[in-house]
Amino acid sequence: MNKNDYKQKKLGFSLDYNIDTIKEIAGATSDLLFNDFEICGVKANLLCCEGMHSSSTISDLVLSPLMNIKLETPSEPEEIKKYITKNILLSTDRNQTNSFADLFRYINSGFAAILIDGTDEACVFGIQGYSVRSISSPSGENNVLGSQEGFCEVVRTNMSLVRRRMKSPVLKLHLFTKGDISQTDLCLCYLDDRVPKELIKSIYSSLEKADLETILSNGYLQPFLENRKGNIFDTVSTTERPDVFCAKLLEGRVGLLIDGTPFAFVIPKLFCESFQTIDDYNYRPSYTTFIRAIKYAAFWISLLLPAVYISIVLFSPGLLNSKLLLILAESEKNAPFPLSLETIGIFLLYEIIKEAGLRLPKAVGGSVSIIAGLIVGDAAVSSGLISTPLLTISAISILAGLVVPDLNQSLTVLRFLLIVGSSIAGLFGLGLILSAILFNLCASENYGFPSAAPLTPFYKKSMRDFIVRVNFRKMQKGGFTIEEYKE
Amino acid sequence: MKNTKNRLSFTQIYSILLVSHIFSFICFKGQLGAESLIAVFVAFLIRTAGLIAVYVLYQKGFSLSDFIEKYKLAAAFLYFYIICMVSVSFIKIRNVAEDIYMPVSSSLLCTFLIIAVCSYTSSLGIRATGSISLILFILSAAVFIIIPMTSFENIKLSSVYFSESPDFILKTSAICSSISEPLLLLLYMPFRKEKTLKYFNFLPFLFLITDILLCVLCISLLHRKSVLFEYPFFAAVNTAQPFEVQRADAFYSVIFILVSIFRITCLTVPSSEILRIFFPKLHLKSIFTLILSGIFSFVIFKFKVFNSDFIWLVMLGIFILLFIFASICKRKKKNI
Repeated sequence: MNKNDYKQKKLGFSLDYNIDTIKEIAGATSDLLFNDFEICGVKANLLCCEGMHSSSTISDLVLSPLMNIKLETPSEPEEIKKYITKNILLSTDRNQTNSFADLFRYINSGFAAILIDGTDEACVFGIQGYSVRSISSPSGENNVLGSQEGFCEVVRTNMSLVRRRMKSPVLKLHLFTKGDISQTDLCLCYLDDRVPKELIKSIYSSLEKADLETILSNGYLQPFLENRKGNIFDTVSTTERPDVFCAKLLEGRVGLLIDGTPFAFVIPKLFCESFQTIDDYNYRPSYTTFIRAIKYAAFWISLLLPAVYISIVLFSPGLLNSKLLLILAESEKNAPFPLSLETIGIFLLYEIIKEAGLRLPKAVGGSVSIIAGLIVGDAAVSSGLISTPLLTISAISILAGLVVPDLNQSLTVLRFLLIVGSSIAGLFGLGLILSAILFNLCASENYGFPSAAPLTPFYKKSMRDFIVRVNFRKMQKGGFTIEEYKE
Repeated sequence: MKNTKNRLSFTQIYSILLVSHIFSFICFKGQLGAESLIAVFVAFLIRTAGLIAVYVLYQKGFSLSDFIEKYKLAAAFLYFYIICMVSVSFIKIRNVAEDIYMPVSSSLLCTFLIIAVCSYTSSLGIRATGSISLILFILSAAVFIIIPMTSFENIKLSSVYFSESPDFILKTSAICSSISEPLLLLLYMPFRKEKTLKYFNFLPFLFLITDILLCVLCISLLHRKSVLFEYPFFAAVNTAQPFEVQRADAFYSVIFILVSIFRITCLTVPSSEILRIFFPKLHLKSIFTLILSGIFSFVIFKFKVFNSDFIWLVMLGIFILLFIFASICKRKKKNI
């Protein structure tokens, strides 16, 4: 049989035929368990996947009740099936299926399937008991005063985390599968009373067009959820936090949970959201305003500082006052490499150290920081390979970029572009590339929601939670939804 | 110019016009003296005439897309006018790049690089242009606030420059009147979000206030030194040196670049819509417009065509007459 032929095949009435077909489809796989038994004189078989179910659950909730069924012997198969589905609650997650494709999906999702000789439908029961990572703190998105729960890899657990925080019936969680081979469970979440209906339709349409074999992480799906190409900044946000996820659903956005990854998508994303955290709503408004202003400043410092430094030192030294000029001249005078090459070298080195720190096993991870500190911090400067002011500028730029980790990818690439542009043409080159970046940001949109909102197009009402964060008493008045930004 | 999904708010349209106007001021070549304020007022009257013509047209229910589809000659003239405006912008940029310090080997290369970036920005459409206009307006306003703050000691209203030239006012008026604001308003009105036109009542006065403030700023900073400099804006920023720097004018060149790119983009983007009438299947219409404008600017520059500043007043006059004619035609049709 062709590998994909089974998707169209339906179960037959004969148990032997069904079992033989399943064995043919599954091939020599060792984790598929077949358990023959009889119910009231009728042959039956219990199928499950080793390691996916809980042995105690299957014994107590499935096998024991089945063995205790008391009907006439022999009974009609349909009667037995009806009795099982109507009179015995073997699990709270139950279904019936007559297709081999669905049967395999259920079994591989931790369900047990009962096939009865003489019926062409299998009864499936959710008895999952596979090992999962427990709910823990999110790996990124740390906060001080908020919840310490983060999503985990199991979509149903994540659904419960969302449901616990929003106990309203208007919260809709729609589960479906995607991926020809992986059959990954996806869950679309939204609040029915405030989400724009066209947004849901558009997202479903985009997901339908995603012809994927497997979805192993967020990155597989993200390009299909961005309906405009060429955006420098993300227009789909990811979060590991259920509280952040719920906060965005409350604004009428659509969330997508993916089985197998603790990162959820929220659509659409505004550029200003990268500067907001859940802690902003736990602190006093004055402090939040101060911190947000710092974040915006940090972003621009991280993006522009190295390029501005190169432009000034190489092309416009008159922009510096005389004291600063003398200090920089003294430092750069003995540097063996051109300033632009030094700068690119430092940032490349930082990226190498960062990647090494991320990928190394934990046991040797500590040595990276020692080597990086010794090589870059001490030896390179002492030997005169890198000048101290440049190292300071680079360190400030990198640290400032870490304040907005959400924009890290875009910042890294744009920083290099600006360094190259300013190395060639100083402030003129910087101005040209900055124009292109600003135009791109203003053109970014996703499903008709402009990323640069609420600054441009300007929405006066939204300024109460842009850089300034007003008191919650004012913020709760007049309820805001993302639909106000729709163009 | 069927407007289905690109909608601009009146603040965005205001910002587009104001930033374009700031470009004109930055590239203004000439002396600014006390009489310049009269020239500013004359330019205000001419500009207001153009703006009112456009305003009245739209109040009568004028549809630009229907008009240019029906009167292809007028559409061709409109497109030609846009080409002229873009070409003049190229020449202004080149002239400024020659005068100020640019870390690029030649002013022609400067202009060419700006055109290259504009070919990308023009492809992003009306919505991007509208969105970025507000950001650029805020940046420009910040620059014009920083200048007097940092050069406060140099501001002397008592010692201003008085020109002795008899045609100074006329010449300055003509320069101030080589304006594109009525054209931009005509092109961007079809994309407005608000149906009512009442938000546009204050537009001419905004320009007047902007002109007066900027002129007074430059006049009070430059005094009699105005006669030494060709570009008053760049001369004025030379006096604004924050944080004890030696020369801060390089920083202000960044705003010049941003505003220049915006000016060319905001003219090129709507021209693509007009070109669609003649060449519906042509791809990269904005790049085509830029190339055409580049060639035309070369012709203007090399052969000194349209050398007089008054020619632009004549073109503006034809432009206004054309649309008054359109309005009369429409009214006659309604009476029939």
